[in-house]
Amino acid sequence: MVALAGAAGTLTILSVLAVAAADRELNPGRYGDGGMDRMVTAIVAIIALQVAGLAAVTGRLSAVMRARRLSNLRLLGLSAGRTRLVAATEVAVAAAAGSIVAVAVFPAMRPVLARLRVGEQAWPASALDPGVLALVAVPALVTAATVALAVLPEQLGSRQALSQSRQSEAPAPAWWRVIPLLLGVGVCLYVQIARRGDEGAANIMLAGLLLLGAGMVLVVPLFVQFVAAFMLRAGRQVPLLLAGRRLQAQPAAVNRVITGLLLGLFLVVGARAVVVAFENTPQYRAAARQLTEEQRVGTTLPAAEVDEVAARTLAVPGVRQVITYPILTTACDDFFDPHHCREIAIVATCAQLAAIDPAVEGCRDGEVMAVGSLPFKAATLAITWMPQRNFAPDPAYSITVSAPQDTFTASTIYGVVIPPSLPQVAEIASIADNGIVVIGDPGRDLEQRLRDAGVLPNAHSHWDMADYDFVATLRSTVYTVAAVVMGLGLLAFAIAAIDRAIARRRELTSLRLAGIPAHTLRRSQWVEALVPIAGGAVLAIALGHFAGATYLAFGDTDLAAPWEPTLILAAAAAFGGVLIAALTVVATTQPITSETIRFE
Amino acid sequence: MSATALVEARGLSVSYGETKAVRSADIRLDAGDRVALMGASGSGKSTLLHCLAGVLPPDEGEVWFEGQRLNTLRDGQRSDLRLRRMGVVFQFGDLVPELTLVENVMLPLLLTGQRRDQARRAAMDALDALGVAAVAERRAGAVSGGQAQRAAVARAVVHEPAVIFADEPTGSLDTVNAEAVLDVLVSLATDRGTALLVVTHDHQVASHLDRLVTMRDGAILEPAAARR
Amino acid sequence: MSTSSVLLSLLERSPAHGYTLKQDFDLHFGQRRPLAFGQVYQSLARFERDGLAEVVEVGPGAGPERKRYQITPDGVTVVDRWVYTPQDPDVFATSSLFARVSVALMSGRLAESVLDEQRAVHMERMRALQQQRRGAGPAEVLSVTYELAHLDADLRWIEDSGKRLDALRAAFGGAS
Ligand SMILES: Nc1ncnc2c1ncn2[C@@H]1O[C@H](COP(=O)(O)OP(=O)(O)OP(=O)(O)O)[C@@H](O)[C@H]1O
Ligand SMILES: [Mg+2]
Repeated sequence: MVALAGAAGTLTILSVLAVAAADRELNPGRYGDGGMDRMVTAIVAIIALQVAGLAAVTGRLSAVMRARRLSNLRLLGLSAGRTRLVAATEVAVAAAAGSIVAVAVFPAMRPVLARLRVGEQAWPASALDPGVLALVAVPALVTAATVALAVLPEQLGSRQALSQSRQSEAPAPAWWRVIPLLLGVGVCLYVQIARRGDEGAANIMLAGLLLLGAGMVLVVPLFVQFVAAFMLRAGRQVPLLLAGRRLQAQPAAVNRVITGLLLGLFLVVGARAVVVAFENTPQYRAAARQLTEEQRVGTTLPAAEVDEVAARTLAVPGVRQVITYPILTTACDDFFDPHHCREIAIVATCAQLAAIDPAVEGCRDGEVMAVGSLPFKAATLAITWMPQRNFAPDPAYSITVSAPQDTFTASTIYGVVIPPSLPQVAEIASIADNGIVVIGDPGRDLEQRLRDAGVLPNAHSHWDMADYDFVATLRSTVYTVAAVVMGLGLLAFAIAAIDRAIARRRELTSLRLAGIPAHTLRRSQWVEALVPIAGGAVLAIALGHFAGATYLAFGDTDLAAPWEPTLILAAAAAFGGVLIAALTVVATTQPITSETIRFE
Repeated sequence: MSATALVEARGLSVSYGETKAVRSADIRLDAGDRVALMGASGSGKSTLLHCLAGVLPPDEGEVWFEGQRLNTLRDGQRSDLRLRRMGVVFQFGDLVPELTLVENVMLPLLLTGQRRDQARRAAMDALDALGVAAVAERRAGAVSGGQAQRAAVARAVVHEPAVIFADEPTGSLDTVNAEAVLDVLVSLATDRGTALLVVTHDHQVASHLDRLVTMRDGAILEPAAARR
Repeated sequence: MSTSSVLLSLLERSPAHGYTLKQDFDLHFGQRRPLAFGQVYQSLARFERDGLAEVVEVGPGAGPERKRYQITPDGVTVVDRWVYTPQDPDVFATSSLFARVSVALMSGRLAESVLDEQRAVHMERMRALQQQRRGAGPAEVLSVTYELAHLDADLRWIEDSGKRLDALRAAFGGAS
């Protein structure tokens, strides 16, 4: 068991490190500011925490069995210290063996990892190398941690360990454990209500989140105790009585496992909320639109080519629509500020603008307006617009209009908008350069497709997909970490639950002999495995959601924490709980055979 | 003797591989019968008891309980029968260590739908009769072996079953406490006509019971008088 | 223990002189106190008088030690009855049980039956005592449980011997 846990833990951590190393190699650009390094460290820490939980559970399990065996050695006269040494050696050997096997097996894992895709990102097997240092350090650390977690607590009462495991009532956890959590909730609520965005608020928020996380860990024993008491009060349901008392009597393993699981879930749900903040940037949303609704690419063309190119473009497969619009430029000489030379004016009605950029909002027909903030210092300034830059001054092909008085918003267009209905505009527009916007089926291939078709070689997407990909990778990473955390946490819970179930097999058999129906025992097994996981997951996911909401409320953004990861994780936790419960039920309630009776 | 026995086994045989644990055993219990089952270790007493209680299907032969043939019942039905009509005591490990003694004793009552306070009162009475009321609120894992054993007896008698099968119910008790256990069992047999089948190695225990059945090498020996 | 019954049963194995009988007796039953010659000849004379044994050979010389005795069918019946009749479970009188079992073993009788029947009688007595105990006052409980404890000890010996019978039979068989 210890060896298995050691192997699983080592393999998981090595995989994470290998992916991190590969990612760093493939995308060196991401690692510039240290943010990615922090993230990788956080991920490794979260997963290492789960591995530690697993190690603790398996280590403690065998500690009980070992204690029985080793007590014989004690009777033979071995000193307590020597006995502990024997125990430590045993655990160390098992954990080390498991870890070393994991290291040996790891190269075989690389092709498997290479097939893994997180978002759009995949890592080739050749790059998946965690480094020699990790190959040595990780098994050593896993082994050391297992020994520490399994054997050191024995020091506290190895003499009483045996009797304690059965006899003593677990002391009721102190009520003060709930205080940090309440404080954390209070602080977070304040942050959510106050909606301040300054430095002080950031520190308050951080404190609140920390209190929330630490409070959750502290409150677990109280929570488990509460769940047990609740089950006991639930009338004369025998399965509840059995499960509640069992939880009350031996909460240690459940507490340990639930704590790890909860911390993981909490962090993951919280992290998901951080990803939401990224997802709500306009860049991300527009990029997402490209993938889900339509692609838009654009460029400019001389007036003479427009019609012909537009027709050819429309014939390219996957192109839905081609929109062209005249673009005027300023006569720079008239300007005292060269900056204005870069200003352009689009000639279009509001309806046409909406087709060019669906995000247009607040446009009024018949008026000269600007997109975004007014670029002109003097609102009354008259500006002369011409069909092309450096166009020889010609009164027939230039118009002067007063500078825009008002603005509207859009996402891809910019500049000044001149209504085509103004006098003389049609004339200049007929020889002006044209902007062209090509709308295609969703995807990320329109640029390439046009280029392949030989039209619009300079067209480019309005959005950089790298932003999108980064956020998508981030999100997938959160889910992947969530899966690993859940997997390890549930594995630890399963091991603990099955171990307890097996230890209890004799008792169950004799209960069945006494006529207690099998379904009653099965039901209590279900309850015992399901309720703590379900309750704990609800607690963690709710708190994680709350923490995420707090983060998002920070600085007065209007984002709600996302429910979908919360629900997915809840569903996964429920499913895992059911699976484990089913496993323990199977492990305990095989039909009575002559062998099982012999246990009595 | 009445036509239908409370418990009747005919031609029971059980083998574990090569070992013949029970060989064509016949036994009959009527209401109020008090039978001690003795015999050397390994002579098949526990195995026979398990067959009679319907937990172990015999390889050959049949077991009848209140006119029903156990072998034809489904597992759930047999469990239910044990729960309502039989009390079963084993020497070790049949209490739920995390439950208190009184909760352990309440189990059969709760499972047959009794109200919690009623069940509790009945359980306390049974524990009191066996002299362990003082530790009733302690978890079963935290009492002595003999106290646990008496609680197990309390659990077997609390629902006033038609028959009690007890496998060494006094194995970890001193003579005086063993007497108390047997007194409870015997008075139940006297007052309610409960049939008793008690496996024991102790003649003092057996002397509380009216009939002595001896097993040797899996066979039930003829009563002594029929020998020679 | 009834010495004369044992002597008669020893005679059952084969005709014997008084001297041989004493040797046999001392070997199997006389661990605590060797038998006096006088008692042997006294018993033999009584067997002869009661028709339980007869003289089959008289050697040269004078005195009882010349005579060789043989058991009669009546004698065999007496031994049978003695061996198979369980004794009252009197606390202090069970010592003959040991002798009866030994004799049964030596003579090829059913030692199991001897044990079984003694067990049954003991159990019967114990049942009666338990009955008595349930309705008894404190003083009576003491005497009743005293007797119960002794019967219990006897029974434990009966059980133990029952388990040893095969080995014992081999040993006795080898000795005869
Ligand atoms: N599951 C099993 N597999 C193999 N042999 C078994 C099994 N259970 C019992 N036996 C054998 O069957 C025989 C009878 O066992 P049983 O437990 O019925 O004896 P018992 O009379 O109850 O003994 P004890 O007084 O020691 O409890 C023994 O020889 C035992 O070894
Ligand atoms: Mg047994």
